[in-house]
Amino acid sequence: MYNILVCDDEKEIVKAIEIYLTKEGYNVLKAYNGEECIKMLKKNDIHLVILDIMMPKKDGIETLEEIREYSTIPVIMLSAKSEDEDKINGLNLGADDYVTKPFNVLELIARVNSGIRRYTKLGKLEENSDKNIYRTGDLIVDDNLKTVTVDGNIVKLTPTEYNILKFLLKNKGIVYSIEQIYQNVWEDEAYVVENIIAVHIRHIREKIEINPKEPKYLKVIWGIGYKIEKID
Amino acid sequence: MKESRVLKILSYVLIPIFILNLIFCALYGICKEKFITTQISESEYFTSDLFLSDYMNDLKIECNNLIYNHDRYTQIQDGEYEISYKSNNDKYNYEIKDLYYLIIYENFVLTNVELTADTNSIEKLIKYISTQDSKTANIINGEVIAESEIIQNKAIQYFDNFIIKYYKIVNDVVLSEETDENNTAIYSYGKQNYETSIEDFKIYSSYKEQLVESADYKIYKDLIKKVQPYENLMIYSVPISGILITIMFIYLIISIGHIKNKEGIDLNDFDKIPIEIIFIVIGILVGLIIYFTILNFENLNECFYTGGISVFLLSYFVSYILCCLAMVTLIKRIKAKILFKESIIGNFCIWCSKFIKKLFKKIKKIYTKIKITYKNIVDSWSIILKISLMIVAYFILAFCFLLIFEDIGFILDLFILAYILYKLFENISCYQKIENHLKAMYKGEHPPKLNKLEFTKYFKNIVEYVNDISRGYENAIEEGIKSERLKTELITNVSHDIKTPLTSIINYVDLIKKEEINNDKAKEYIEILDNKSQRLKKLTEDLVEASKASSGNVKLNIEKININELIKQTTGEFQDKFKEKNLDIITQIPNQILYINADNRYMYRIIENLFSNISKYALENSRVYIDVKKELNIVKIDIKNISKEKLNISADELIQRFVRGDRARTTEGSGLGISISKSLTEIQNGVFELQIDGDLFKVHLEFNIVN
Repeated sequence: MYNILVCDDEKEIVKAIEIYLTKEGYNVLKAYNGEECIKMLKKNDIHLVILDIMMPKKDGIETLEEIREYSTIPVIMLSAKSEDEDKINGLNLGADDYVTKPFNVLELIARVNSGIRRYTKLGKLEENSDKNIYRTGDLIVDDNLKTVTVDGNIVKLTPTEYNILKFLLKNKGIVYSIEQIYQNVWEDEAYVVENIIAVHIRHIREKIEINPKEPKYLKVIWGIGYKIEKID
Repeated sequence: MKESRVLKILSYVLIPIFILNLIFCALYGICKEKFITTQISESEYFTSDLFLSDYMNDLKIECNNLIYNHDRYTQIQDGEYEISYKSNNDKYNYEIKDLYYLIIYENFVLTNVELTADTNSIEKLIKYISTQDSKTANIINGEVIAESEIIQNKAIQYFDNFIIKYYKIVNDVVLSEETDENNTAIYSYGKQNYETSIEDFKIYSSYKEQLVESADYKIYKDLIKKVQPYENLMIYSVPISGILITIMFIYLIISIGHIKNKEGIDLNDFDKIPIEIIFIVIGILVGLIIYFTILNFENLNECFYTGGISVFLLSYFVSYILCCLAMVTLIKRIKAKILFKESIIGNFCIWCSKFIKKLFKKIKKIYTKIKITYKNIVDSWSIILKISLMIVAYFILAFCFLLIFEDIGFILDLFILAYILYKLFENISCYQKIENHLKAMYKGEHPPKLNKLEFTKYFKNIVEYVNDISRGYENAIEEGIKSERLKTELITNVSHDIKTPLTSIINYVDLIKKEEINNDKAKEYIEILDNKSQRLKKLTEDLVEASKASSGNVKLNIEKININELIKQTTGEFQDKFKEKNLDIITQIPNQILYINADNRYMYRIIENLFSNISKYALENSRVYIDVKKELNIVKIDIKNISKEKLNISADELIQRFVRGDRARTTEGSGLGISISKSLTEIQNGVFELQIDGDLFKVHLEFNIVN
């Protein structure tokens, strides 16, 4: 049983999140402003915090800064502020994830699951020495078993998708154009590629990403190519 | 009454008849006057000086004829010669008949006795003349032998008339130096100068002492005799005719041009011919007729006995008809008020007036120009005064220097002139600086503030004004930018405030959905709530984006982007969505790789919006064309598809925010997609054009290619 602290000045939102998370089997603790949040954190054994930014007394950013002073607990920021600067600011200050309001419940749950898993299990796995296992963040491709796992869940990919993902993950952090991917995966000259690769990548994203439009692992750099984000 | 055709024709016919009546009466009056002449006694007349002078004159004329070889010389008929008696009113009422003569001059003979008669010799002729029952009067070699003592006595007085005549021959033509209407230029015998006198003539003549009424006089008398019984009638007919003519004339003037069942004045092509031409032509015609007919009758004799009356009447009526034509068209024109317009003079006048108006306008223009210039001069009076004073001062100074210092003065003058020129150029450069500054402002640049110290004192004020204006201008622009930013901020903040309650709505709707509800209607309502809350979410997100994009309030992360890659990626991204609608995508991308400078995420947003529109609004089972072309240094991307709905909306309208192809707004979408795409394209220095051709929806994008 994991304890999740939900902190938002909108009681209804907190309530709704509580309902969802309780259904998922989490124990939910509630706070309605930054100060309460800090107090709750000190009192209880919390595994993950969902933190709103715009709150009275102490806002989400200040609270996050304070938390990070003494804890590495996963924090998911939850805000109506959807601008890039806000997201970057939040993530830079130590948030593990950033979800904008109005949020998709399934996405939020998926992110909570991911956060919890990483904090409790994956975090302890540490380095995997096997050469045939490639990973970034919680995305793992095991070339021995030919399996792909995200946040510990096995994802089913077609052989082509698997090959593309494996190639990109092997070379994580590097941007490859469609042509380059084609040449490397098919080991052949690209001639009638059209958008087969693009379609495959879209499908991979839909399978491995919580929100394919805002991918965490398989990033699209429009007009340049694709890459797997390098996450420790 | 005005339109009665019968009355008109009657008037046209009657007027000339009445006028004829008047003419007749007038003629009668004239004739009657002629008739009243003084009766004279024959014996008294033949012993009067009057007869003698006439007689001698006639002889003299015949002598002249003889010398000049006059036509008459061969045309004389037997006994045909007469002396007319003039009455005191200067008319010839009586004639002396049977006047004979025989004139012998050198070897030439002139006689009014037919030589063919049994009078072959001169002796016989003399005898023939004298044997007539008449008196003789002969002049032979200057001697007068007359039966009448008066002639005998008085003839000598007329001798002078028979003496001396001069002639000159020019080009074989003899010209008389003396003018005598009977013998101005007559062929002569070739003598250059000729002189003759009474002694050279032998004149035999005879006359009867009896007066005979002249032919004309007889006619008058007959006419008057015939008409006299109706004299009273004629006297009354004159005023009646006059009145009737006047009435009919006035009636015609009133009624001309009015036709039954027609309003206004009836005009035909004839009335369009310039009136001057009509008048001139008719005038000439009438003049010719009168000249060749009426005036041609030398006397009434001819008029009455050589078919003259019919000729006279014919010419009279023809003239009348011609005059009528002229009058009718004149009156019609006056009534229709086109007399002026349809005439040469009128047109000329109109042209003149136009010309004068134009001229006047031009003069006025010039006048105002001069006025403005004058005003400007007055307004800038102080400057002009200063300049004039300077010029005057310069000349005075220069003159003084020349006087005082002579040669050195000239050099001093040059220095002063150089100084003045320097000042002048200095001011001109100041002016140039201000002009450049204003030009830069006009182009939308922000030129640095003008430094007052760099300008001459004349420009200090102007510089201040210009600086003030440019400061105000910059402030206005800054204000504009600021207000645009504030607007965006406002929208962003409002959207945050909307998003929080919206989150609750969406979440609780979702929770309700998960509850077990057996009511179908409730389920339906929940579904609607779910849909609409999702749309509201999308709308708030797009609203912020649109406001940012249109105000340019976005941070661009410009990098080199491969268009070919972008199109492949995006089409791949939308493959599944297009497939759902069974849309066939036909892409045409050149093999050459095309790079542009842009922000990759915004580029994706542009294409994403367009593709998302296509997936929403394109006709199912149709084709979507994506063409990428390179033209010079520009990459052109055309995206074409066929709309599902009828697009009864213009391209411009569609670009505006919140407008969608379906006016009812039944489908999902905020209506901001195209607006956002356009703004984002323009922010990245691209061109975004939208065309609607029937159901064809076409988006045209242009970007600059970088190497």
